Amino acid sequence: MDAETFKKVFLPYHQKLYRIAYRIVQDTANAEDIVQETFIKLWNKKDELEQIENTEGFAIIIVRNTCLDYLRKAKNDYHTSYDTEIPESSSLSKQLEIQDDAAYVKDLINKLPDQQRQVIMMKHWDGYTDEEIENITGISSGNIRVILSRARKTIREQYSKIEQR
Amino acid sequence: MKTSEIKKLVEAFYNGETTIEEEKLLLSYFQGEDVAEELLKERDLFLDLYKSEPIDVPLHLEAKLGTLIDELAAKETVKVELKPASKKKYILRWAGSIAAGIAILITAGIYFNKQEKATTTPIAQTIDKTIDKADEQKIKEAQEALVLLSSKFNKGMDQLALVSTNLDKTNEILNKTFNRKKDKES
Repeated sequence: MDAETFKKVFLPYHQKLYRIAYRIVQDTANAEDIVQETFIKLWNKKDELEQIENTEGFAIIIVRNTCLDYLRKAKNDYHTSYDTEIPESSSLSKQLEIQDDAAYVKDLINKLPDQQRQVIMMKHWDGYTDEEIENITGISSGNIRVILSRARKTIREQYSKIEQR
Repeated sequence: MKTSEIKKLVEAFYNGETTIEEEKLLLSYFQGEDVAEELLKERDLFLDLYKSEPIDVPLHLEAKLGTLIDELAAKETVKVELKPASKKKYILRWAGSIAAGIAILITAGIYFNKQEKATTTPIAQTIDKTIDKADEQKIKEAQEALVLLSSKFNKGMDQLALVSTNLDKTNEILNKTFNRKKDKES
């Protein structure tokens, strides 16, 4: 596969790949680096790519693995670094300050465990199907439903607590 | 759609059991104006859950990736050109030297073959001529004459050698007399 064909096939995926990377790592600069690294990995595999029918699916798997490598590395760095400040968990009073309900729900989503947050954002915000989420995250469709249920229930619970006050 | 059905769907939604179609149905119901009063709270949360936070893809990213691919391709072509080129040159050098060797062998072969032909034919012709019996006597006479010449020549050479030894002796005598004279003068 030459450079021009490679560009024609893979450049149109860059937005989707960036959005997936951003969903997983939640940081613009790192998402950009991950997409670039993904393209380098894809280029290095270009001889195998001619036999692959679902090039988009293949690119998604590469971006997901690159994200997971990044998160693993970031986690290790976090544990080895003693200077890292542990972020304060926002108190209930702070939560109450959030007047806009939509902003509050967003805040609740952002505070969910990684997998729940990723799945709910992909499902609700990005409109991915279960099959697509399975491809992106590597989580089985059965588990996706369980994760989704936990995430939705947690938000509903937290939301009703605020409503009651 | 009945409120009870919506309620069931809402519960299924929180259990993660709804299909995409069912979720779309819920969304359009809550976005509509005929929402049952008892479901108003559910509506607010449901709609908030779908208020997406758009991800803005950096505008420069596509161009950046394009350049990255060009750079990767350029690096690769340099590698590709260098390695096989040197191999090609190596092979060409070998082929060249082998070809040159073969060419030398062929020309040498042709040359010697021609030479052989050129030399063999006149010799054969002369041999044929000399073989005539009438000339045999003349050859013998010539050979005898040559033997005589060589013996005379040898004698002459002997005499020349004698002359040269005599000359050496006279030179020695002359040198001695000169040296004496020089000694006397000094």
